[in-house]
Amino acid sequence: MKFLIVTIFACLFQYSVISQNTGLYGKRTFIEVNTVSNMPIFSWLLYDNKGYSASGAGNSLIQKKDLFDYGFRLSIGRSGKKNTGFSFEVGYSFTNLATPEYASLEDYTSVSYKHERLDVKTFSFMPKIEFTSKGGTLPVGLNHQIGFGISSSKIVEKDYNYQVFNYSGQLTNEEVASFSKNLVNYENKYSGMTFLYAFNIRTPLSKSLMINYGIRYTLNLKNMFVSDIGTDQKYYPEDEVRTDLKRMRLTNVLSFNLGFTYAL
Amino acid sequence: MFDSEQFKIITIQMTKIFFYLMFLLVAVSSIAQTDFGNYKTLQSKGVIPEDFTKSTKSKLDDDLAQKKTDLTASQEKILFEGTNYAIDELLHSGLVVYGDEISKYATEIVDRLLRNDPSLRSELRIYTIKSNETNAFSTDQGIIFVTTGLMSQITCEAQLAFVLAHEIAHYQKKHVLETFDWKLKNARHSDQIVKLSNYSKEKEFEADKGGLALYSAAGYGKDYVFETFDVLMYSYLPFDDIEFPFAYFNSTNMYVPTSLFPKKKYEIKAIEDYDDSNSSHPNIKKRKEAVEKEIDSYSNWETADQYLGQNRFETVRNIARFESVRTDLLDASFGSALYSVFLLERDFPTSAYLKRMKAQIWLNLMLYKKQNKSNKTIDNSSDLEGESAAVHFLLKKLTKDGMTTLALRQVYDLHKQYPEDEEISAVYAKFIKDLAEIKTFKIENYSKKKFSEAANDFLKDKTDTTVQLQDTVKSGSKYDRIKKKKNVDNASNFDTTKFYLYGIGDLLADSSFVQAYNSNIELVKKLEEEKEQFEILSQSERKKAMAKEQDNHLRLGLEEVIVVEPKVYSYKANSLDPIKSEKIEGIFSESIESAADDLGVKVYPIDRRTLSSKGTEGFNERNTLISFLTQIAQEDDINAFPADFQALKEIRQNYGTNRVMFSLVEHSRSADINWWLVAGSAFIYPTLPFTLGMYLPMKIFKSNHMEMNVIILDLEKGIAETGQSYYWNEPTYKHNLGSHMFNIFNTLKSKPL
Repeated sequence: MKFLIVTIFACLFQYSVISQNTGLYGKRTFIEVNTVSNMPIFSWLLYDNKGYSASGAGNSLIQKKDLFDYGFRLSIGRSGKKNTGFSFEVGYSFTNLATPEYASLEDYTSVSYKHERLDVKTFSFMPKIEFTSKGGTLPVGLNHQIGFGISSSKIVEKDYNYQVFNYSGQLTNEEVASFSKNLVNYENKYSGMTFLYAFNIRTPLSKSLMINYGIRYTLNLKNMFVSDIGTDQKYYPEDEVRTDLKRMRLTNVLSFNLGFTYAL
Repeated sequence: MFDSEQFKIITIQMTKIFFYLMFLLVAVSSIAQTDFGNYKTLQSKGVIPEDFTKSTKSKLDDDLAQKKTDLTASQEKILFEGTNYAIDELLHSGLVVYGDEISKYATEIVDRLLRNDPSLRSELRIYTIKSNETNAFSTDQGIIFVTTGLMSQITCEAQLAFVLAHEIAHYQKKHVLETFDWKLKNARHSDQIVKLSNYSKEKEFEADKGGLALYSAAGYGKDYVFETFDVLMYSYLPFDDIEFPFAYFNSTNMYVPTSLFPKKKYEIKAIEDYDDSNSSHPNIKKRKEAVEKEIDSYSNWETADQYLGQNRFETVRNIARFESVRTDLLDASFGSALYSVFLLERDFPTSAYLKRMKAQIWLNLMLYKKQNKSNKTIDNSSDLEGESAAVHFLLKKLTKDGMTTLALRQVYDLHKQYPEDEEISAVYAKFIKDLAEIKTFKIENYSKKKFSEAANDFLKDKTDTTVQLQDTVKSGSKYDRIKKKKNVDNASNFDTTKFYLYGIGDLLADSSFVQAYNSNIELVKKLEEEKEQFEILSQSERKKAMAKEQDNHLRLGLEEVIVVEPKVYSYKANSLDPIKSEKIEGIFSESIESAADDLGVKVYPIDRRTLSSKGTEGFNERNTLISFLTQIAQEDDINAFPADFQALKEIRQNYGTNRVMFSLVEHSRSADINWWLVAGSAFIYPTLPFTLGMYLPMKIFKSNHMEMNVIILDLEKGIAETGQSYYWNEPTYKHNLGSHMFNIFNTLKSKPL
């Protein structure tokens, strides 16, 4: 019987794909909330500078890898009548940046220090095209996303733990006390173009709600620029911060997303 | 007053008379119920048995709970999952019927065979399979299947009794379970096939032996056992072997020359002592010898060949033979079907059913010849045996024009003979429609003369040499002579190989035929004009037109539909998971109904879930619709006429819709990862991030493979109206299926652009 039925259908149809109605039960507009996370594995593999984390009580620091970065993304989209759609995404993500262990002072001397990794928050905005293989019914199922947008990172100002070791240079007690505040320019925004490719699966849980999960590859393009440049000289200069941020974001190319999609 | 002895004798006599009367009543009512004139295909009757309504999962659970074998729990699961699934697939294939005349007849024989063993009797159920294979088999679940092919071949009740006794013995001795156990223990033997064949043959001898004990005890005669083996040996032949008269197709208007029939008889080649080294069954000679030895061990042989009556037997056998025509028609074995009609017409010359079948056979022969596929419907030359070979030989020898004209002649005559018959009229109308599409068929090429008239003119022309000479000398130009040569009515052009040119003269004079034919020709011309207009379009215009055509393909304006048995095949590793498939089937059915409901499309489900409530009527409807689908699927470029025309009409009327939906989902999970690539990537270190970060996740995400097929049949037109295949990398969850079905219904519901 099985053979019969499969043969019957095989006899009746050649594979042909025609346009068809799309959407989750016909609903083609959707709102999506995602958590995005990644373990910066490539960073661990490629770079020796693990950075420091605060440990327990007090100001003690231990050398420790950045284990986990995360973020949130909200998007709204609409699928077309065929196998393509578009959406707009805004995102907010959190990561951190290992600082160097040496700082050059103005008098060409240097100090060594240990500083807790700097928190970095990144805002992004991105229009995306979504598409499926022929016959797909967006937003349901496996889909591919390509996006091109802007991302802007900023280092979070807070009370970081740190230790300063005067090496060849000399810092006053005041300078040591304000070392963290003068480490970087917290007002700076490091902006750039971001390219995204993602593949994602949306599995319907009900007639309106879908769970979605997938993998995102984000490539931050070379021409990252710095806006709101401060005037004061910092221990961790802007161009170094920019380079390190670029490197960090490059090694965080791969992330996982998990969230919910609501179809309207 | 009677003494006790007299009372006892009278009571026995009265009882005998009562049972005799009851028997007569049953026999007469059984005969009366079957109207072979307006025969309707075998249908299930009575209350639907649990075998048909219970899920495979619950059957499996029951079998496992009973702990029937010494196998381990996992082995039992494999065994019972496999057997229950296979049986359920058969029960729901559209081929099996219950409570019908054949099943009832076989059941009564089983009652007799097991009258001394009520416990064993209570475990068995008997159903009929509509198949022209001569076969019967039993399952470890206690079901005995008998084919209509077997019933059509036997010559007495006792033969069927022996076959049934043999099957009961298989069940009683648990041969299915033993064979499974044997296979597990001998799985690693290099010569397993030969050993399995030998083992299987042992079981067959055992079943013959065990069956003989039941058969003998039931009071049947020993001679019929050997006849049963003859039935099996010649079962590949039609149910009778009667000379086919060469004048069968001749009438006052048509003559088929004898030169188109074979000049020799085709020998029947079957022998008793064939090579059975790789067979599951011993050859007939060995079985006969083994049974012969066994027969002597029973001393109280009786001689009866029947207990249920000759009339009853013949009625049941005729049902099976009528079924064989329908089965051949569904299987596109038109040569065999035509020979069976010829055999049955001898006993039922006025049966309208046979006329309808004959009209359908000729229509289909024309359709298959039109597509150059008629060889599939006729036996191969190397397979020709016995008297039926004459029919196959003729059909093979007919040219396309010869076949078309002979078919037209037959269908036209039947239509004229039964003008009120709706089915024959529908066949005739379809015939004329398809005829108009045959470019080589032109009515102007046909003679108004009959064959005999043309032959006489030819002979006269040949003998009158003066006229010939005068003609040659006097006739005008070269062009006149060419025209004359082409004129079929010219006596000198007469050619017996083109006998068909003189077979429809009366049709050419029938204005209704000419009018119907010409109006269909006009339709064909219109379509050709449209095609020509399409050809002259620019490439982009053509693309646009084709896209519109494709878009409209599924836009039916669907409002109501009968949804039959949505099927799901879910695979784990490389094998089917029947229990999961069944579970998803339930979800799929619900999804279809829910999606249709959301869109306001009225759905009438006929599937396994609804059988308990719909009962036998629903089961019969489902079988009819599955048969229709099977018939349509025989050839994708041939729109066969529905064999169950009447039954389909009743379904249309019952539901108030012409449309039927069949759907099939196949699902498997396989990531298809190329591990060599992964290993290679580990050696070429820089590529590893791409392999781990992109290749592997992509493969895992795409590991679900779901294919969905949907087809809509039009019961009135007898065609597959539309159909589509879809493929997604998705699991078969409720709302994945539901959402896709919603979109499909949404398209089906929309009106053409």
